[in-house]
Amino acid sequence: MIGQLIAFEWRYHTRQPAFIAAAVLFFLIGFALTGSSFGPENVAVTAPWLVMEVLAFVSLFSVFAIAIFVANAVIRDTEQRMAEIVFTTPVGRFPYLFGRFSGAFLAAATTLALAPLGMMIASRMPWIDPARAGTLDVMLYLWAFAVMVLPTLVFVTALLFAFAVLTRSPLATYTASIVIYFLYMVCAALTNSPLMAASSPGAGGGALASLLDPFGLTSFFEVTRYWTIAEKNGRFVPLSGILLVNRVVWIAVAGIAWGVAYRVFRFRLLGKAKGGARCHPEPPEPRLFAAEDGEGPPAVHDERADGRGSFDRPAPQKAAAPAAQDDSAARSYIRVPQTPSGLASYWSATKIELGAVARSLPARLLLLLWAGLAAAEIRSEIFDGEYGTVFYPATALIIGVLEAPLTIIGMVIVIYYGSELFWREQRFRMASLVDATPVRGLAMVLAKWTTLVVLIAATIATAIVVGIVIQLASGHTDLQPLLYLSLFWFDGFPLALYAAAAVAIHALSPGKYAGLVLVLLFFVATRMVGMFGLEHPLWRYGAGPSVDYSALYGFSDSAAAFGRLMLHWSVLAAGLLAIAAVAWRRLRDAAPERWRVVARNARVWAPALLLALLTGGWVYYDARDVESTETRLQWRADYEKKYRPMASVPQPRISGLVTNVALYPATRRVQIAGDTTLVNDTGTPITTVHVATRRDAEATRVSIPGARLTTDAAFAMHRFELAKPLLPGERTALHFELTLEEMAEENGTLMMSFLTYPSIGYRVTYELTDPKERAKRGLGAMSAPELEDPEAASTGESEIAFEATLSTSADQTAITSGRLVRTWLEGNRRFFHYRAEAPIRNLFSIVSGRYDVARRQAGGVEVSVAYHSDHRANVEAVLDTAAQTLAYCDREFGPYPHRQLKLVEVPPSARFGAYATPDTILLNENRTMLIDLRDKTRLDLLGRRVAHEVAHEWWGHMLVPESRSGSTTLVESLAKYTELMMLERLRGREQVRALLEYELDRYLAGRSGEEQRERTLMTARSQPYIYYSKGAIVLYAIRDLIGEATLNTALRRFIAEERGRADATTLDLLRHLRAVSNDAQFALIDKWLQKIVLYDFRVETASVQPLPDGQFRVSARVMAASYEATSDGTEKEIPLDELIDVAVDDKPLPKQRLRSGANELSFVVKQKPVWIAVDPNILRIDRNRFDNGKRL
Amino acid sequence: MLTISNLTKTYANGVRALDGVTLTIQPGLFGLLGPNGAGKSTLMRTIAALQEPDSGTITLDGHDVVQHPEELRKRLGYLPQDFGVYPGIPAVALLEHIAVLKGILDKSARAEQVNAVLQIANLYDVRKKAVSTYSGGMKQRFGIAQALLGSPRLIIVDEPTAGLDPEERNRFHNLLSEIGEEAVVLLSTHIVEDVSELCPNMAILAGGRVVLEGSPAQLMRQLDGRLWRKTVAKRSVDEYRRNLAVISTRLFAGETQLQVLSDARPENGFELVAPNLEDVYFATLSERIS
Repeated sequence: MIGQLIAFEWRYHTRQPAFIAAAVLFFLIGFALTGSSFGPENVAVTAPWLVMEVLAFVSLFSVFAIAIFVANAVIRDTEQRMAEIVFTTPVGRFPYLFGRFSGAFLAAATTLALAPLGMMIASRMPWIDPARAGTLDVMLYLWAFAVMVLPTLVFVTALLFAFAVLTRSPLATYTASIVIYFLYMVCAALTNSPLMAASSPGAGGGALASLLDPFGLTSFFEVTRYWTIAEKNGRFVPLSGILLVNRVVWIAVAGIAWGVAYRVFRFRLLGKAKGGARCHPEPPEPRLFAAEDGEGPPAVHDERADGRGSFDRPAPQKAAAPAAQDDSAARSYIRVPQTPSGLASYWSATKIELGAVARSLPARLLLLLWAGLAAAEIRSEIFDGEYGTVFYPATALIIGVLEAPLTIIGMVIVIYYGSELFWREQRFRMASLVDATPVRGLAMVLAKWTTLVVLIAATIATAIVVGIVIQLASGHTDLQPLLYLSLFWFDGFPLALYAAAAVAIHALSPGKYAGLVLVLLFFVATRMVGMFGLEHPLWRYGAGPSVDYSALYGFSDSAAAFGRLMLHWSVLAAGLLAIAAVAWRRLRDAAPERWRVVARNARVWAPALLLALLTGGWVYYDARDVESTETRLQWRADYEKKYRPMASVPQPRISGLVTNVALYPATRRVQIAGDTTLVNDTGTPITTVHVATRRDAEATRVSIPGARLTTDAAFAMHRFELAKPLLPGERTALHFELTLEEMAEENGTLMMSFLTYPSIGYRVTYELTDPKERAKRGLGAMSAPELEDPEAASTGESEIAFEATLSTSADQTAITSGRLVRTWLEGNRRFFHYRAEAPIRNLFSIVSGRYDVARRQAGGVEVSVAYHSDHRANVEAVLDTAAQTLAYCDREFGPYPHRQLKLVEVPPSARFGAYATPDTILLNENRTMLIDLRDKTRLDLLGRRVAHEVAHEWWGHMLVPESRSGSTTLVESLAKYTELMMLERLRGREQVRALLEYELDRYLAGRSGEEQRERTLMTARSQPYIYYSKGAIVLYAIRDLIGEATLNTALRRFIAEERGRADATTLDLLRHLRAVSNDAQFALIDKWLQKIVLYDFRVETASVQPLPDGQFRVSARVMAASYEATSDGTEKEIPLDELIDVAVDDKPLPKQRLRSGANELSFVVKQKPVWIAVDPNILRIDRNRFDNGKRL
Repeated sequence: MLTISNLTKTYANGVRALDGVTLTIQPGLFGLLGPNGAGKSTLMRTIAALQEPDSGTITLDGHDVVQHPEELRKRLGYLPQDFGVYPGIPAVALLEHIAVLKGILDKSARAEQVNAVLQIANLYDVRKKAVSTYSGGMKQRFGIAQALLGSPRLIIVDEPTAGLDPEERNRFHNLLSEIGEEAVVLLSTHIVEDVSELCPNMAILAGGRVVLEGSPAQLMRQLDGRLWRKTVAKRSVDEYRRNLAVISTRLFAGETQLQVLSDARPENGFELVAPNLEDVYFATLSERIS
């Protein structure tokens, strides 16, 4: 019996268009993911870890398919009115339910199974890089499918099945599927899943999130969190730990859901009325054309009032006088003239639809869930942001947090509600009544669209309310309502356009479920075309450029381009709605017939599409200068091919710059002029000088006295043939003028010198950094040589004399490096004359804005903060930290060469948290000035950031490394070290440990995600996890090893030796460290800097015994090991013999010598201890820090 | 006046639902009879402009319905054979909505007519209940009520009396005749009685063609003196069928009554009967089969 039922269900599902569509979809997703070599660069597409990740990722999409299958399986009886026939057959409850469930589950499993098939086929495609193809092991795919996909399918199917059985409503079923997504998104947000964008460092994952994620992705990432490349490639992902628990938990939940469904299900029709129809008897049934005797309704009410419904009206009475009744019936019929109005119909239909939505429990539940999700997102991003920091809940931050989830939820609404709304007349068989009226298709279609738009608006409004409640609850009263309202425009409007597309897709699709899948496909396609090189905005329906917001300048300039695109898409959307309107009355017909009707009525919609061609042309014209990524990358590759050979040609060095910069915030123009002093400090005469200028600059003029100029416009390279060779030690001058359009902001302009000013010789910054891109374009290694390469590294980075005159609007302050000599007003322009009193590194910035400025004298240095008047909260803290760091560095590393230190708030569009230029530090508005420092137990992110940047005035500006591997270690690890010293002084060791916890996690996660090979600190390239995180731990360990004073002595000597030379390398650092350490110390230092070393400490057993003298003896067995890893993460054990911190109850004990293997420790303490920990201060890199301690 | 000429419609699955239907229908009630699958509903839906014919024309009061369905829809009252409603919406609200869709924009006129049709359909008491909770008969009456909204010149009622008890049906018929004085009322049914009681004119549709058209009285007259009846044993029915033009059989007290079409008495025991419309209907259908 059950077998037959399942077989029947199987036949039923496999013949549904939605099944075919889902099967094709999953095959394509699997094929596309592997076929596009999704995953880390150096992990084979067939590697166990990647196969599992991809399949788990694909299973995210299963919810959509399952919702349809379950709706098909359960609701089809009611929807297609088979229920009365099916429910009266003798089929048992269990066979019926199990058959239906199995059908939906089998359909889901079958369609999903096509994903691994697609992946396997894609992995053998010729275009896959042989290095990444790996070996195909079918068992691996089956394992991944069994572990990651099947339990998810069981759970999702069971839960949705239960919902469907209990409610018999597709919408309720969809809502349940949205709940599942919410659960996943919350978990992903909590743990900063690698699949979610913008992982901020250090947000701690949670066992809870790993458990709660029904897709198991979070626990999968948790289990494999610190896996290295070698492990990802070779290690089988075992079903163990939190992943096993997760899978078991969700299968159990599936069982419960199934059980509930089975218990509750009865072969009964649910009440026809929503909500409690079962509680009320059906309405009394009056008979047709009852005898009224001309009295009208009140008579009926009188009858009812005496306790008898009109149903009980005695029949004979009516039969007695048929003629009279009939007359009355006919008499009361009045004809009313008809003047059909599209507007009135639209409005009436909209009210009906909105009423239905407002009454619908799923819609209310959805908004409630969304409110919860929005609150969770805000909490996690704003009150527990990077490094656990609390931010002020400024509206700008809140809308930044809400944007992404809002778009996702909006799309889900359009996908699900769109299908329900659009097919409502068909579903409830109301269509023939409505279609026979003169109502225009457009009125009905617009009503559907409006309802979707209102739902989207309600979602946004909900988010805003949540945001405001959170703001008010935390005492933030500057609500910025207009900024909130911008969500309707920048996020709501594109969704409204999507809604129009969804309506049109449904109008042309064979049916509701096929339409749902098609809409989903359409959305995925429009979001992903960029991945296939189709990045022109015209490919992405309904989307515009991203617009960012700054308190300084408001919305970025892209807002205008956004508006233009919205206009264009609106025209297209109008055409789509017109198409839907034409097809509206033909929904009963087969799709091809509808297409013919649409084609025949082209005159209705074609004008809009033609107009869209026009607006599209306008957008195209507007964006004609915007290069595609491909063009830009190729340009850079071509530049390198053409000019890199020239890099070895001796060039003069810039030794001085006098510049004049006119900023016009109103017109956004910037005019730059300057005179550069060039000096030949090479040993050979120079005959040609190459000057690179910004290539989108206009009216660029460059000249060298007496030199003949040829310009390569394509690469903005200018070649000067000098009249007579520039002999060693001689000087000449380069004069330049250029104009930059759309560079200045209305307020808060920021220009970086390396992006705007001319440079001499080969511009190495144009080089592509991504090895894959380089290989694709036939480029070898980048020009920055390896640490010990004999090849000369690029020069020209040395210090210059600097003088600048900036002019801007009268109400703005312009800031650059140097001491402000004079400021004056000339007409409506304010001028600022800056002159550097000591040479600076040729790496400066120019800022202009309406700033408030706070100043403080610290020693001989004036420290100032220029800030937006609304962002006053942290000004004192910034001044404090800056002054103290300045004092520390000045004392420890060498004197600060300037008499001022300026800190300037810049808009968040700057892609850094903070940035140091000579005597001027740029602070990102959102990531510094909005930090809420009131909770002193939180890690002081602002103090850390300011100290770090002030330290860069030494590490990076006074000590300038040579451009070789390892150079960033000198700049960043030493700044990180200084930051730790300041944090320790300002906030205590506890915060240092908290910070190191984050750094340890970031290092281990970073090496796990390494796309190339892990380098050592000595040779690190652009690998932040090494030079920031490992650097912090190692430098802190070195200071623990040799002491702060000794370490700082070495660093002071290092900087003194390198000042003004710009050729420091990590070898120099090593040399200075060698000079201050003994052999044993240096062995460790050398190992930490030159190798990848990991430690593993584990307290195996620990006990405490009271001693007769009232003290306590603590005995512990500590397992210790050390490993050296290769650059791909393959480890081998190395002998360990080091002094390691051991603490009892946070009280440090003398360091203990730990050797490989078991170590028996024993000590006497005064108070009864509760906790023992090895390496509590994170001075060693331990992959599992959590077994380093034990409760006694 | 409704004129239908040469209407054909073939569905994608090859079924030829309409095969050159030509009819001229004057104001008043017009009955359309036919067995299931004869093409009645297709014809009704096509006239109601819910679907397009492959070829042929339909005009209502001179307006081309196929080319300009909007003209028809302004004058149409349609009660489909099978319909449902949005869930959870009271009758009065739903009627208001349909009234607006039909173009009754004046608020008070609309309210008045909605009340009127509610009373006609005797749903006034339950007007605030959701139509989706109505029983089959009540829902059918709601369908009638909504068809009456506006000032229809053409009322199409497709199997309207299904679900009504005889008494309700009777009253409905009276209402239809009243309305038939001003409008074309097209009544599609397979219940012969409905037509004979109501319709001055009628047509029989079978296999997508009009096989008979005229007034019931005139059509019945054509069978005068040609219709014979005999009660026979059940087992001999097949033999009679082979030899005579049997147009219908019906069980009567355990035995079978045969009705035979013949110009002369077919055999002993047959008695001449006065034809009714049902006989015309069966005769027409059996002629088609033979």
